[in-house]
Amino acid sequence: VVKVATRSELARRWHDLMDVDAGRIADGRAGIEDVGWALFRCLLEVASGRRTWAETLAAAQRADLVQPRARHLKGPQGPP
Amino acid sequence: MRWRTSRRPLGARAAAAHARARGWTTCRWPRRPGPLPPLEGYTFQGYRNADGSVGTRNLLAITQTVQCVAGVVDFAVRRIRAELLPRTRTSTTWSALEHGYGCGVAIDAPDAEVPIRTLRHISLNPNFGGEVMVVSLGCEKLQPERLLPPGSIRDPRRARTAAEDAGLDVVCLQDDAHVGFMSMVEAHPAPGRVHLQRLNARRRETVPASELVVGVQCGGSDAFSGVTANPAVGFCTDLLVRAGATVMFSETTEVRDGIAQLTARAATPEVAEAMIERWPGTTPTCSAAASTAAPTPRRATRRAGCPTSSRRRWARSSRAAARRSSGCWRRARSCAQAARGPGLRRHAGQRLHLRHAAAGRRHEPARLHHRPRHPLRPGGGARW
Repeated sequence: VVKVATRSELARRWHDLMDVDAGRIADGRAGIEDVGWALFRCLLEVASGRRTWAETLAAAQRADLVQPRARHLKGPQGPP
Repeated sequence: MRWRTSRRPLGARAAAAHARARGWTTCRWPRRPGPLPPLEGYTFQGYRNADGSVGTRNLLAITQTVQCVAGVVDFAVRRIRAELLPRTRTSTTWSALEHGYGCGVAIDAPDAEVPIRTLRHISLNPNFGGEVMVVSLGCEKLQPERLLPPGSIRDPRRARTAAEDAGLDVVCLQDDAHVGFMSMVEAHPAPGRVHLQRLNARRRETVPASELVVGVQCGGSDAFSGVTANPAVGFCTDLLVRAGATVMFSETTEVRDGIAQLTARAATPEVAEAMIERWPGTTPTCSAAASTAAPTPRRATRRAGCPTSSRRRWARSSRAAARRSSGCWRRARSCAQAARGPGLRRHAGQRLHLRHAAAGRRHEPARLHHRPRHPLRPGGGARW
């Protein structure tokens, strides 16, 4: 699950839940196209094996992903 | 533009006029994307399966035929997690596919195939690589062979013997071989190891982005959803489709006001017409339930809808208790009495029951979403 935040304030507050910050559109720091492309690239990376926050925390899916080792709890690598 | 009266499909131009006449607004961005060029050269690293599908994760799935076995599966997965996984060098994780269906899912009704098909396709998710274990109780109507019929797992490596033809690995809890609870639990790791070895042999390879299947889903809205996240996800969806990928979305009843966005992207005019036929707020779900569009009735409305006769009957009552109570209570009680129907008559001690019923009615005025009484919610506390 790739989570998209609607506001930057929300993305900051839920820093360990949100993968993509779409609030940059409201701030004027990015356009819809920019965030759309960022999300597109993020999806390809996640499809290639990058862990999303939801996956890391194993909280989002009913078919919860088993995280047996603590070393997996490090979150996504860098901003999307 | 006249209002439509016939059910004849509309052409593209008529469909646009139809949408305008109904006040279906279209946002300025991007109203009609037109034929956007396909995106070439985008790839990802996925697990290619024998049937051609591509997974993005490597998971060993334990599916269940009936919810009665969920407790055992949960216990077994916890045990596997604690014992087997730390000792196995693996990139695979385990996933228990729980569901809440009982035997009612397998009745011979016209649409009973829908939930069964849903469970089947969840079990055949490309991320599982066809290595699905099934936990069955034994007495359930939805037998493993019905959940995953022979041939549904198309893996040529599996069809070496006739016994393996179905490709099913079933743990049956009511099997005579199991003596005691721990025997059932111990039955899971052994076949799991075999599947785990096969899954560990999977390697990621470069595959085109057109193999992706993505679902988009609302995970909670706020005032900014419609101006930031949703348009960005929509733009990303366009990119995925241009790259050849498949995108699914849910909450389709909400598409009604954005139908122009969809018809502009339809592959053929027939698809656009089918969407318009489908979506003008007349889907069977909406009309039958009438719950999503109708506003929640207020108490005064319900009071007005109360049969006069029962109100009069109550007013004529000479009971001191009824006189003492306020008019609001009396009306609420008479409403409740009317709603309870003629089956229940007043008798000594009925007052308590009526009060209880009235409070219950007051607590759930809309009768749409049943919420159990709770002491911290209004009208939910114990009063007597």
